[in-house]
Amino acid sequence: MKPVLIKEIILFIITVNMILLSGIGSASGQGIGTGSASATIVTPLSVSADTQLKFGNVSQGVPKKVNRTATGVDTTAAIFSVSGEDLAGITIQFTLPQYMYNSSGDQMQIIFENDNCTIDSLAGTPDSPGGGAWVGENPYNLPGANIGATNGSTSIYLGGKVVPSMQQAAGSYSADIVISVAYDGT
Amino acid sequence: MKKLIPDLFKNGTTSMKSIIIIITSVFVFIFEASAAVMVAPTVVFLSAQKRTDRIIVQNPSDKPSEVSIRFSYGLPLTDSLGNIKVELQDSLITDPKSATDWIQAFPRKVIVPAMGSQIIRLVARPPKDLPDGEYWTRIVVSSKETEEAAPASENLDGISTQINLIMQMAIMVKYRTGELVSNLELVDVKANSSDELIKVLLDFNNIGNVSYMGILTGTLFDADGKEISKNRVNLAVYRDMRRCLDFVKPDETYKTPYKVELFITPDGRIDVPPEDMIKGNKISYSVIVE
Repeated sequence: MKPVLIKEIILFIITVNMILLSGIGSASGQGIGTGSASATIVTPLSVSADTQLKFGNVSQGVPKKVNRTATGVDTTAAIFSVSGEDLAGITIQFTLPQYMYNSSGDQMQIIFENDNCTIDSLAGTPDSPGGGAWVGENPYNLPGANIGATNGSTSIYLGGKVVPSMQQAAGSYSADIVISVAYDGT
Repeated sequence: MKKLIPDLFKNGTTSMKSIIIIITSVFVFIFEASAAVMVAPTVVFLSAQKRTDRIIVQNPSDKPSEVSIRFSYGLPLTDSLGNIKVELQDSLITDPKSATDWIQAFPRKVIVPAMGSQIIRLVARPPKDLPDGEYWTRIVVSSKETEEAAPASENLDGISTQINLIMQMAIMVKYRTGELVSNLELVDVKANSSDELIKVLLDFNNIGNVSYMGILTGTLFDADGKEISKNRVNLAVYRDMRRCLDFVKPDETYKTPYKVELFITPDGRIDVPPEDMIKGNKISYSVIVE
């Protein structure tokens, strides 16, 4: 079975599961063969971080950029997925860091350029987004989007750039990226 | 804390329901997503008669997830081009329609185990003598993995980096009291054509005391009345709003001038339980594309 199909099946079943557990759906039966049922089907909203933003090895004084299209092993764009009701309007906002910090409090600049994000509602990949994707968007000001109709999911690809100084202290630097998603039609 | 499988058979549910849940649980346990969080329902309704409710947060990934809950204020707002945004405001909220200060959630911080779920209970404690109408806030569910991933680069002599990805979902919560009226006014419509798109801009004004929830449908016709394409969006108008409907510009086989027929109805919202819909008016309108 193709991975995409498996994903669709799983998503559907999870949806049914959450509906049943949360009491959103309701059903009633009146005997074998003569049962009747009614239900309100509400697809839950889901956000997942599928791939980390990876810069690989970074050297002092050498800026390193990861494009939104990057899919390498050591350097990859971040990939987020938003799932929900087909074609429902969503707004996506990033809260992005300006610096990364190590455990000593040293900081290293991180930049998100104004064309290094893609919103893909048609099951593409970072280096080959689906038709109609919002390509090269500013992650600080993303357009309204919608949940993809083909698989009930929309992907967001985000690249970035770190700018270590010549005197940048060696060590492990970290920062948080926050993605916020809301339906715009409720 | 609640795992997926327990309590499945407690409430005398149908065998079909049980079967679905068992199948679901099996699939959930083989679903190895990375950090993820899932929330249902997607809108919560509280009222003077029902001051408590719950949402379910589910972690479909194979790692525990640290989930925190807070409330923010954020209505769908649009700019002059009809682009829509929900900007969350955590402090200095002055809107009298905000319920952010008096709706609470329990618990507000929890570790949801891998493949597990957690019920979050909501309680409204509105001020006395609240005027009739609807009051709004958003429950913001934030999630991140509890076990942070190893640094992306293990360059011991150099610089390694690690980006922590935090996911937030902002779910609308609406508190209703007194006599409720849903009424939408279509103030203005403009339809313009560019090289690639036909854009229809609609200006709405909410003249009820609840948010107007419905569906906006636009259908593009050519000069002979032949249907070319259709566009549809879920609509939620809290005050005034400009929405944009885009249509791909038809090829030259279709005769101009084009016409767009617009229809707004509170019917057909499958994402909102019927008992929670305050049904408002319907609007029909036609506009010629300039």
